[in-house]
Amino acid sequence: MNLTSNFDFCVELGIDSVKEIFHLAFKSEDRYPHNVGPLTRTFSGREFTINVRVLDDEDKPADLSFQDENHILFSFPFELQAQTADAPDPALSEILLEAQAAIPALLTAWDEDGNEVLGLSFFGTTSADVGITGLSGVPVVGVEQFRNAVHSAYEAMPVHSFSSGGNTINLYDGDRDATLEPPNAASPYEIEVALETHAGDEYLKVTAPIHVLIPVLPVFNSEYSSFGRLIFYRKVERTDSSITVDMTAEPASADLATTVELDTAHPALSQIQSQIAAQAIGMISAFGVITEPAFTETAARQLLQDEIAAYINTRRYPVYSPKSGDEDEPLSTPVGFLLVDDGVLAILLNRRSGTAANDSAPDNFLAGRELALAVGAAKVQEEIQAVIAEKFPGVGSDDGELIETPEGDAVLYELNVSLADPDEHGESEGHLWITGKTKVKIDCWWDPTVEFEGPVFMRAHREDSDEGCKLIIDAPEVGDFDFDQSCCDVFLEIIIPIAGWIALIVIEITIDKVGGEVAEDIANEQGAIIEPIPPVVNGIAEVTSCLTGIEVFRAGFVFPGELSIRRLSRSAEDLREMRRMPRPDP
Amino acid sequence: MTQKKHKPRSATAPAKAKTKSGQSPSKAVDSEPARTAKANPPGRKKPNDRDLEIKDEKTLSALGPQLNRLLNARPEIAAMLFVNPVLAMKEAGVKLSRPVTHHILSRLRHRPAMRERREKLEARLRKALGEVPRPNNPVWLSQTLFEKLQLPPLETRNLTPRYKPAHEADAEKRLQALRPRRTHRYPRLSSRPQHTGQLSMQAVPPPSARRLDLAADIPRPGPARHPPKRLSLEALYFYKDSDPIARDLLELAIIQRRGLRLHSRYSYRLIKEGKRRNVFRRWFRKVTLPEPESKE
Repeated sequence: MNLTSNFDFCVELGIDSVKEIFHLAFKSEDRYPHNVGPLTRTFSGREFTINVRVLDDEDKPADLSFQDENHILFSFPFELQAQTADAPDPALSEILLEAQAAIPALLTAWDEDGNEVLGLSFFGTTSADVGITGLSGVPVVGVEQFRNAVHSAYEAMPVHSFSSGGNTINLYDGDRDATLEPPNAASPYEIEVALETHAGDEYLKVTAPIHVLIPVLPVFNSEYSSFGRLIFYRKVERTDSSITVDMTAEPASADLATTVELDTAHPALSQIQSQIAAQAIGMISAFGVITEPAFTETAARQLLQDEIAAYINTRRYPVYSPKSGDEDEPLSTPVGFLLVDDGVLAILLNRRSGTAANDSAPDNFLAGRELALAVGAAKVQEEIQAVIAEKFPGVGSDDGELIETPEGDAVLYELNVSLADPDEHGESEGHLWITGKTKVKIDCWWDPTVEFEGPVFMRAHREDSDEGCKLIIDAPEVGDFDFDQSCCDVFLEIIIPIAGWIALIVIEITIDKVGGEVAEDIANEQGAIIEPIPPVVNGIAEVTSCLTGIEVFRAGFVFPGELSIRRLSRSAEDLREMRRMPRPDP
Repeated sequence: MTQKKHKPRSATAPAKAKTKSGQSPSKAVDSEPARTAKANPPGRKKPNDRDLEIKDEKTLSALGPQLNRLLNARPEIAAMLFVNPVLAMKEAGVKLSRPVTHHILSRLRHRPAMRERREKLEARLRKALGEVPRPNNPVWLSQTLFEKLQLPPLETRNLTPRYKPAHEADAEKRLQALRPRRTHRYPRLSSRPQHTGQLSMQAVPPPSARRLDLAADIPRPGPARHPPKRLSLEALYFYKDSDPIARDLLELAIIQRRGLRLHSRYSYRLIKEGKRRNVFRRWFRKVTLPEPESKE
């Protein structure tokens, strides 16, 4: 098993804990703004004011997943509100897009204010990196929108009564202009639109109610007046981002020429209608060019990708800052790896060998738990040697270490402690494998030299009280042997304490190096008050961690633990839930 | 060989110096086995150990090196010396007379000073109680204290005796220095509870009756309503200042616990066959006894 790769220590957190921290962190709106804008953008010559609201609630939760070894993929639901003052279709003057943005963040380390931090960086994010899913609200510009735009354009016209050569044409649109005389009695009553395709092109067919007054008809020398309809076609030009209808451009095709239908019969009706149609073309130009920013879904997605990438690619957020606490002993840069299949975030600390190029992901030693700390075998072995050197300074020398007890004396020449996996040495549990050589002093006989070897099992358990949690390192075990069996078990009394001290020192050093805190000693005990991992996440969340045990592998020690996470500050949402939102002054 | 310069050599101890100097104790040895043993050093030919017979302490002393060689040649037996040396020797083919057996057992069970103290305590208690003291028997202990000596029972439940440290304080101090320096890294976390966790190490090794501190001052517990039917050494500890006999019983019990536990023939067999767990059998991979003659 690879616990710490080329590092001394490793902390592993499950994805559920990472998500919990993320949700709490995301509530800190001062650090992670939920509302972006107003931003001003111009589309198709029209100025839009845009506001973006990023969501993370029960209905629309933000989320994250581990994308690959170095990237966390964040998923943010958001609403984008775009407003423009003069949309051709007033209904489109405010649109609300909803979508889910997936943005990868690189898990990396950097120096921030002198602290080496591990965090999430969006530096270099491009449009192509941003995924947009579940996009809705992109307006579809159809007949309805064209009808609204034409109505709107009608209202924008300065006049609706057009005179030329003594003839007057009233252009109606329902009762939108009540000043016209005679009042609208034409059919249709309102301007009607339809979309038709001719020769592969899309056309807007407009049928507008009109009234025609010809004071003196040539030849007949009489007045003619009639309600009727003006029918004309205008080509619809659609791009990815806009729709344009140029009302000034009469189609070239004779089939699509502007026509007039008048209700009052007359022998010269056909000539009259042709005359009025020719006159009406100029009148239609008064509608001008109607342009509507209208994004296709593809174009809208691209636009959002561009905007999100532009917003995020200069941002990074520190997450894990293992403060050394000791200026003389700085911690090396923490390096994070994501174990995608296992849903584990692994943070390696203190590179022991090689360079960043040699860094590799450790194995999953979390095993479904909330938290686990590991210390590599090489570091453990360092501490083992230190403990042996302090406890038995003479071991390894020619004279050995004289151990005197009331029951008998011995000279310890060799003592080696190595780590063993489960199933090694016939033991199902991981253990310390202790070997050594000692000369036992026996009165009135020659002193036998004993070469010994055997397993020592490390034990620890968690206890809880009002003061918090406590990890108690139990007396290491060598099986079910009874310490109090006889004087001969003094042998175990010599061997076992080594294992206890190894456990205590290795745990404390691990805590110290992963950024937790060994705050103070407990009175009259071999122990201390501890924070197994940093108790704060970048000033956002408070983490309470409790170690629950100790596991031994050939690759090192693992200390499993549990986490509870709570946010440090309150958000507007919290205050709302608590009904403690600030109220206006009475 | 352990040198005991400050003590006169026991008359019955093996003549270590003699043997080392090469003086053969052949006169005290059944001649044939001794020669056989010399002629067959370990690894060459298995000695005819059935013929090795030790009738007295002098012979034991003289045959020591050969006996060691014999045991070294049987490594599976050598570790069993720590279970019961007499049975191990017999298994190796050495015939021991009853006096020699008694000599070996009494020598190995305790170091001389402790043996002397034990004998003194046993004699004193036998005289006071009129029977052989059995302080490691909880039932006998209860009957003796509460029926024979009529001591008032004390409330000792939930009390912990004082123990002598198993190890020297200097080493503990050096080990303490290996622990990381205490830090206060997160002082500005105002909402932080006083602490979230503690780490502590249980007493290692665990308390053992062998290390009960007879000299410690302890408060006298209050009276109990009824005497217990079984009295453990940990409970007896709280009577040590109530009655001198109780104290002697406790000291004798501790000494007995400190003695080499010599397993019965039955227990020895179970251990040898792996049917009963034993620390030495489990841990001692190889036991090598010096062979002075072969070194020369």
